[in-house]
Amino acid sequence: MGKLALSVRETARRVSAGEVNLEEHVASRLERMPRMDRDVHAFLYVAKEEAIERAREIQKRANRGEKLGRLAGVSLAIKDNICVKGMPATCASRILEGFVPPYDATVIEKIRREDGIIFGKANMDEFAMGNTTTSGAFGPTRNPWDLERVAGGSSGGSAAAVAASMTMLALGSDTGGSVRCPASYCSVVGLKPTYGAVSRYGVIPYANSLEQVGPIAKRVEDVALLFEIISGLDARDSTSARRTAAKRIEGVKGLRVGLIKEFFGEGIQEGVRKNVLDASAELDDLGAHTEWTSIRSLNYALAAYYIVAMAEASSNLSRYDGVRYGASLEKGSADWNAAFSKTRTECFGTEVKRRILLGTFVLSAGYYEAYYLKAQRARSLLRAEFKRAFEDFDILLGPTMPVLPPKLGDKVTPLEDYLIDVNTVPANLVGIPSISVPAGFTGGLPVGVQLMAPHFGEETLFSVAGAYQEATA
Amino acid sequence: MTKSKPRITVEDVRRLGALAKISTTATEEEGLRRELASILEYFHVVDQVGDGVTIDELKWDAADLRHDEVGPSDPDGVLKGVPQRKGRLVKAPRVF
Repeated sequence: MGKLALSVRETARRVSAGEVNLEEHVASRLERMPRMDRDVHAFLYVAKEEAIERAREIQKRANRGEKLGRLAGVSLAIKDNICVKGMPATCASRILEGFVPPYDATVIEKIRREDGIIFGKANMDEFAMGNTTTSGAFGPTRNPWDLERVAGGSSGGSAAAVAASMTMLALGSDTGGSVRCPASYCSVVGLKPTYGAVSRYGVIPYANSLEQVGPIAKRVEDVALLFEIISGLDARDSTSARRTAAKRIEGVKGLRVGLIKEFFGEGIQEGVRKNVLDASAELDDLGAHTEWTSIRSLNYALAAYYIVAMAEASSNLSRYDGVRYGASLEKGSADWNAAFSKTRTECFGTEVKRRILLGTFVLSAGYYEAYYLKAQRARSLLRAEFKRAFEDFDILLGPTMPVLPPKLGDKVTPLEDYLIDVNTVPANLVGIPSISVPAGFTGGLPVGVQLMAPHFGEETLFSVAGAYQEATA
Repeated sequence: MTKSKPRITVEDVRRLGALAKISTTATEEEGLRRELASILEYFHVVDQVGDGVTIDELKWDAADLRHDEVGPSDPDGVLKGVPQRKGRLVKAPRVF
């Protein structure tokens, strides 16, 4: 792996010390942005004027000797389902085209307080439903490592912006792997926090009981810093938790690592298997102790995830009716149902409509017990098994994705596409934190290794992932 | 409750569409019917979970969730985020 880029801490130190002409630096970066993003298409909206103005304001405060925030002068890409006041939030959907939020999400307020500079809104799969960032209404994002391949999703724009060095940091959201998948495909670090660790206030919902905002960066220490900044109890989010830190494991010596057998089944590509097993061997060289373990409930985790996620999506997306915000195609119509239907039919994409219909089905009379209730029971079983596994192991490990980044335009059925999420969805169902860290390349394409810890075990993840990254950089 | 796999018909697709306020064309309906049937057949793997399993989703070992207590609302805070208002009334676009 090549030398890692400058850290966020060092960047903020240089800005605070006046070693950087921040306004010039930001202006020049944004001037180059269209050329840099022409092929990748990481951004749906570039906040050029806002970012330069912000840089100017931070520079003035630095010149006056004022104390600056921990993200002073650091550039960020924000996934387009996170509300930033004054910037469009489309969720890559025509149904929200033209919607500009009148408020900042809590995570954005926290970033602004620390003097981060938002460069723009990042592309995504429509309403975060996908693992390729090709389903959005405004074009796909390409993988910076191979422009013929997908960047992963649904936070593909965020991961690609960091991988292509357009921004230092990014925020994505992870409902079933949507931070970790693009992190793996783009060879960057991505964290899905413990459910409740980060406020979802101002995050446009897909599936409320599963999703979390997650930081993306090239360095584990930068992901850790951004997580520290954005996490914490928020009275405006009823699912937000007081962080109760789990026992922190420092370093790797004596670490008990469980390799999840079910993640190394027949669907895994050989290059991925080799790189991830090499990663586990690296941890052993650093003093960890790795052995195989089995979590049998993983056999129905993917089905349980999709049933729950689609059910929640069908409810969450019912608000898009062309009345309160976003697109409206039948202004002045006397037939409300026809008006709602026209807007929703023509402005939602195919994948979104498919998931809404499936979610409607699994919640409908006569089928609720067979699907939704069963899925929630499966979720309970899975949580119990993970809890037992964490009695024997400090960290659980496996490949983030079973495959390398697919080619753009590869034809797969919807079900074949869903099956690729098999390794990432368990962490969302159970609510535990999970991080994807680059584990080298195979055939010129990136591989990611996934580490999971007990609830609120982010510090342990950072310690282990950081040691691994340092050893392999 | 029967455990047999449901047969999804085109009529089912239309019914779901009506519930979800999403229209489908005749061309789309058969394609959707096949896709939904295939996905729902896969979902049946959750049948492995017995009926006796209870749901404990509210029990978090490590988390300390916000207590479910009645508290004051914040109308001024809500009004601050409203793009257009008239006094303490919210102005919404006329659609119908």
